[in-house]
Amino acid sequence: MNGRRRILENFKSMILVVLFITTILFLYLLWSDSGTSSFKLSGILPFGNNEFAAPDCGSVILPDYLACGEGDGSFTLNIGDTAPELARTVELLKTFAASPLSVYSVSGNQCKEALTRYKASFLSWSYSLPFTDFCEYYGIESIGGMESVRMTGIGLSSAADDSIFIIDEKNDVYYRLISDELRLSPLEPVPKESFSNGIYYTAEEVLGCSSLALLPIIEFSKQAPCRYESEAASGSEPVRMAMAEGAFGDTFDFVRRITDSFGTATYMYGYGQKTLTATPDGSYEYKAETSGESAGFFGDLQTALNFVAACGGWEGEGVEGISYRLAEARSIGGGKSGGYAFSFAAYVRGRRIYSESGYPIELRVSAGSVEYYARNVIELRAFAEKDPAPVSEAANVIASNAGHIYKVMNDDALSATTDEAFSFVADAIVSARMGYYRYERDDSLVPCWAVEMSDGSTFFFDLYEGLPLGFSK
Amino acid sequence: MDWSKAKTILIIALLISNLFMGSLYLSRLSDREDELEAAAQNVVRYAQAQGIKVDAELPAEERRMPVLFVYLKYGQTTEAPMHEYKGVPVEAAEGLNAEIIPESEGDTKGRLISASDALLKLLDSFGNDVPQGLEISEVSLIYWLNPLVTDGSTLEDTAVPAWKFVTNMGDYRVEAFVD
Repeated sequence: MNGRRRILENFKSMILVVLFITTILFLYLLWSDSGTSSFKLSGILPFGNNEFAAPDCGSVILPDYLACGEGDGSFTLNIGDTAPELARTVELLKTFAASPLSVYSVSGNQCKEALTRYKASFLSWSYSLPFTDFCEYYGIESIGGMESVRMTGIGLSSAADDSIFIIDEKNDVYYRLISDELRLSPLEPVPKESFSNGIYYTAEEVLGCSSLALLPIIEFSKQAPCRYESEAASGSEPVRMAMAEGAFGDTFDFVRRITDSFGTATYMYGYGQKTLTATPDGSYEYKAETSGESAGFFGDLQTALNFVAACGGWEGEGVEGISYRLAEARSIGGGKSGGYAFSFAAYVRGRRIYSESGYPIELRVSAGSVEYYARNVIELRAFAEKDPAPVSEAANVIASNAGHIYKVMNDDALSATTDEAFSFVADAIVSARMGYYRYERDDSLVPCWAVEMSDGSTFFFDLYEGLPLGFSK
Repeated sequence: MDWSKAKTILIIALLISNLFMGSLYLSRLSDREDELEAAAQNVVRYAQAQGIKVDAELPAEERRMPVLFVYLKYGQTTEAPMHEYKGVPVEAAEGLNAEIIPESEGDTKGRLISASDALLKLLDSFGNDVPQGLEISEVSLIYWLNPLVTDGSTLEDTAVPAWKFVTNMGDYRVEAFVD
């Protein structure tokens, strides 16, 4: 009897399980039949949903450098991690904005004199930030009269200890915020490994030109050539698929995939509303139609950061992590349907990696969505350093290559004497930085001087030999 | 607690709810089929009013299909052989002198528009220039490859489900995925 009862109970349990599964099946059929063609079980279950870690805007909009001047024309530069200096400046701005203050427009000469002829410090970005958006992002009280101002730098000078200078070098516009109550002193350089060990002077001092670009006089470096491989080369198909899945999301299963005889793979949704192209050299390009509203500089920047996190990621891979920082930001279009074009530069140990083919990560965010995304990133195989060695002096490198720079800047169309060429080049210098040159034919990073000119071109020279490596226009 | 009794009650409750949901689902299916058949008849009448004769039966069923990944083999001296994938013919646009060989299907099946909806789309695409004397003799589902380029550089591509209308003035295809 007990045996029969046990068999009966087991049978009941089995029937229960079957009925339970059938119930779920019927619920699924009825639910999916009720017009929700996009219904997917994975969509409502927690597993399988990829979550991507995107950095916040604050970690990618770090200033290029903090320059601390002694008033004698010499500067110490922090070109590495400038986050602490930015945080200190933000705190100063917060205090400043909360106190009674006046806003004055000043001339470029006045501002530059205050920052180069007196003990001073300034943070510098290579692109211009909307000042109001910057204040809003960091919780700084809005300052009347500064609504449409953009900035490429923030300066403090002992020449005006009641003031903060807001610099917009791109538009040659300068503002002085004067407090009625507060007195400030310039930021002091914080000794750290990433601080440049050289002394910088303005190009005006060193080359006798009108440029105020900072050039190092004597500099040592531990930089050594190192090998890399492009992201796609390290695992073409899986990387490509991950990129495409991130870009197309739920519609990925209905995306058209085309491969041609050149090795280019194209993913296309609909009639080209979204396309992702992966080329054999390891670069990707995504284009999409957009409709929506711009979320402002920081909103659009976060959209870009999230998109990259979903499509390829931000994490530096390989032996030495590569980090990314915003290197260029341009406003595109106007109003709510406009947006921003963002370009991110790669850095290894605080030194930027330069390439003739442009930036490794570029996006255009328009009307609140990403409409263009190009990616051509690398992974380091091994990071190498050597004992500190003297580098070619930047001023000498520029002087000895002035003819070459002049020719490239003028498309070989103009001839000039050596003096004319030098004078032209010296006046056009925007910056000279140590970094790595991405030598694509050899898949190696070569220590270099990157000399940026006012027409947007950048020239690369071997850091130790001073010989030309290439240029980008 | 009497587990045996609880199990019996649960079995009865689940059985009743399953019977209810099953009948509901079947009645929905039957209603949907009726709707599709009625829609097909209406569309055929509408097409005839536009001067198009429909001599084919419009399939009144709802289907879901995945995309089909194919690879292209060039260098055919004669007409390339036609392939089928799970009973569905794989066809390509004219001018592509290549054999379309099915490789694999997409992971997810997408809902397709009905044949009558496809015919409406076709009529809509004619606009005010409906070809007079057009006679539709066959309507069937195919995998359709419409290549971006026909210069022989494409090695792999993706075919999508489409409704094919065979007419006395040539064949027409309407892509079948619900937008």
